[in-house]
Amino acid sequence: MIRKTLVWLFVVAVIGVMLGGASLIVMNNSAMPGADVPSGFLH
Amino acid sequence: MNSRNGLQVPGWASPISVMLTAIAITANHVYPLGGTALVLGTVLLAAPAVLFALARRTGNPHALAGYVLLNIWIVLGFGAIKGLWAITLPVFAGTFLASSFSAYPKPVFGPYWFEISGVAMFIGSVFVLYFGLQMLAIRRYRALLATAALVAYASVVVAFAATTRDAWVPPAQGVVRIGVIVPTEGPYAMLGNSFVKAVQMAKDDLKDTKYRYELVVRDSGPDPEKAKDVIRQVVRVEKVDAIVGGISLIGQVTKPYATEARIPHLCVCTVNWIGDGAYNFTNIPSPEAEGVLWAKEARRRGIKTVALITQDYPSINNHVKALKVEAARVGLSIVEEQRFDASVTDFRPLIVRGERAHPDVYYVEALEPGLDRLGQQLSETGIHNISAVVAPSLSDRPELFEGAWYTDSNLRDIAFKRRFERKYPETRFATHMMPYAYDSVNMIVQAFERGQNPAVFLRNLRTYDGTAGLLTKAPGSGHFASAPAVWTIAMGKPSLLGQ
Repeated sequence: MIRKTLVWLFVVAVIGVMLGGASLIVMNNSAMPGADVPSGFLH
Repeated sequence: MNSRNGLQVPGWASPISVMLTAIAITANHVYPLGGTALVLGTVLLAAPAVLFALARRTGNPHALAGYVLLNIWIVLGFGAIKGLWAITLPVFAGTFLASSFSAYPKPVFGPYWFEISGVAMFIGSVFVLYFGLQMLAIRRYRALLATAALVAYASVVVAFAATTRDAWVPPAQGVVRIGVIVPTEGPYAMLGNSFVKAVQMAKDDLKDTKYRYELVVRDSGPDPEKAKDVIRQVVRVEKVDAIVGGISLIGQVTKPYATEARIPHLCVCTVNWIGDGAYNFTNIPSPEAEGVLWAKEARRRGIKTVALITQDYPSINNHVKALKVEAARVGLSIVEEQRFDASVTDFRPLIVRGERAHPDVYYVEALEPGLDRLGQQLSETGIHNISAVVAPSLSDRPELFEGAWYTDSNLRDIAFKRRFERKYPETRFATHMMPYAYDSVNMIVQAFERGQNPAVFLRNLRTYDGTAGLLTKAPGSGHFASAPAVWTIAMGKPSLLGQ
């Protein structure tokens, strides 16, 4: 029973790390379009 | 549990994992499908529930088989192909590989919730697989399939690392085709035509190269929507090996096509996010760099107060924004600020208001024909203490701005401009973009001549000493930074200060 609980705790931790890690990576991606306005004429 | 042909109806954990995964799938598909994703979601929630309940209650083998097929669809279609290959691996493996090895591009991500729901979709599918395997009545088969699934997942990771790596491929028949995509009509005629000539000059200047270089020059037109067709044709049909482009409005449209084709795109444009450091790079001084130099020169000239008379237009507003930040930093006072729209032809009320503030200098920036009208009316009022960023170099009548000083692209070697004017006497040399266009072609040529994948070469390039002076790029950055220079209008022509 304890073993099973530990396994599930581990699984939940892995899921948390995956989703949390993905959140951080996606939010910090520098290639994402920013608020910059396309210049249009001059350059 | 009932057993039919080696299959048994699983416990409740299986349909629960299917339904949770279906929620993630629905959320993920809202981005590409919009409201239609709800139909997909309803099917993925209802069908497994009905089939499972039927199989459990009646032991119907068809219901069980249908449930198994739905599980396979979720695990392979949504979990492995979309969740793992298209989203989870780029997020984790792609980011890790790109940060460790320059041969790997920085992955391009979609909206935040699209990516997160994609990862959730993959995680959910692993549970669907795990509980789905419980349907196999014979334990040995279960272990066998679980091992096969693990090997398959590992193979997918290896395949991802192998296929996303940018390797050097010698150009077919020794010919490198460089797409030149820039608008050359309407308001862009002067810049665009000058840009094309600068690129042609770069190509003509090549000597003793290992490969033959061909330019595929295409007018994108000024409309970004229509430009898409031109860009698609150049990238997908004409299959160029690299792109040199100009104007942010067009560069932002070119960007995804260059990424899709995995070819470098050097854009002479200022919008930062175009340069992702993977396949897209920008090459021109930023508005911030222009602002820093402008404020420095203003201080050198003893200027303390500034009146801004500028057209309300994105690129001009960007210059003004950067200039104001820098002016505040060095203690310059903005005593008057007036912004006008393109329809204004009578600038006298604006000039009068400016005069009342007694500024040391008038900062003016506008597009043609407004720029020359404003210059004319300032001149008629006797105002000659004028300054700007770039604008006078794009004027059709620069003599109106005689004595004005402004920041613009640097020209390390003024002979480059003279050579251009001799070679193309009919084309006006637009200082603003030309040295960068010339250097951009040469960077791409250098990559091929050295036998390196051109995108990887650009990612690794930290400095480039070209006609625009020294260009520098920080590790991982997609922007080649360069210092602008101070110019003045002398005898009706742009003249680099100090030369």
